[in-house]
Amino acid sequence: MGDDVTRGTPPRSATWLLGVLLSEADKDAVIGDLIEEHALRHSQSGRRGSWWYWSQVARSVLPFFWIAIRRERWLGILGAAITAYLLATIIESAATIEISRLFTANALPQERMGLLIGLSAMALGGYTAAWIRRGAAAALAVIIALMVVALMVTMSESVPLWYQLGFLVFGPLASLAGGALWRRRQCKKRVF
Amino acid sequence: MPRGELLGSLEQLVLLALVRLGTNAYGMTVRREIEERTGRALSIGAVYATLERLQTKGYVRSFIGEPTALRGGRAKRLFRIESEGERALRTTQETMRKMTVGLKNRWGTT
Repeated sequence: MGDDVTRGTPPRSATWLLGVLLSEADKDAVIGDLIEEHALRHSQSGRRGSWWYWSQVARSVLPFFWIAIRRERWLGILGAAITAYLLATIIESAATIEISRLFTANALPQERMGLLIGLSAMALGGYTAAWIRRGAAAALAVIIALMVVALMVTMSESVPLWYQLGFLVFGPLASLAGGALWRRRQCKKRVF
Repeated sequence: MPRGELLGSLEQLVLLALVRLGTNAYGMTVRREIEERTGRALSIGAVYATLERLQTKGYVRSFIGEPTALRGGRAKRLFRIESEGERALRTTQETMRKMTVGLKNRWGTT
């Protein structure tokens, strides 16, 4: 059985994503449940079950987000997320203006640098949101996704598709990564 | 349970799973119990969100179990139905039973 469990290790990235969304109190129980069922499925069917694991994580994002909002007083979380979003947008805009001065002739480096700076700003926003209120980085990720979709609908012709998709996929992830970074730093502080 | 308030379908399923599982009720077993008996493949998030709601209402309580190697050394969060939860479940089931009485011929079943 132990061998089966080892070979049937669930996808780390999915576990990481779930860990970002969950509070410390829930993390062990929920991830442990998924790991246990993943191992059980693997020993029964012999298949890795990565798809099942990913589908569980993807379908659980909204319910766990809802739990966080209920527990942490949603108005405070939303306020923290909006504050962090505004801060990230100001930083991104200021940096983009500077870049446009440097790359006036060639648009491609400007767009690439714009994406990089935008994602860095979102990660910083996630870090700040998590610092203000626990769970706010996840709320910021949702706000970013909604804003990008809104911009894709209204400004789709003026911006390249890869640029739009880059922000849609990696923007929310950058926010979650920023939040995870803050939490990791807090854990290290507690240990030492 | 406030007068007139009935449990939702997911709340009923989760509470019934807790009754069936007894001392071995935690997220994973509740999810599997519902899936095996009803064919409804819930996400673990939906199960925990329902348990959280039931706990807020005072229908269930939770406590931390022992960590096991199968779970990568992570502890279980076990759940148990409270007497208030059992009462709410009985009231809801009884109300539904009253509403379905006499419909046997119409539906051809139950």
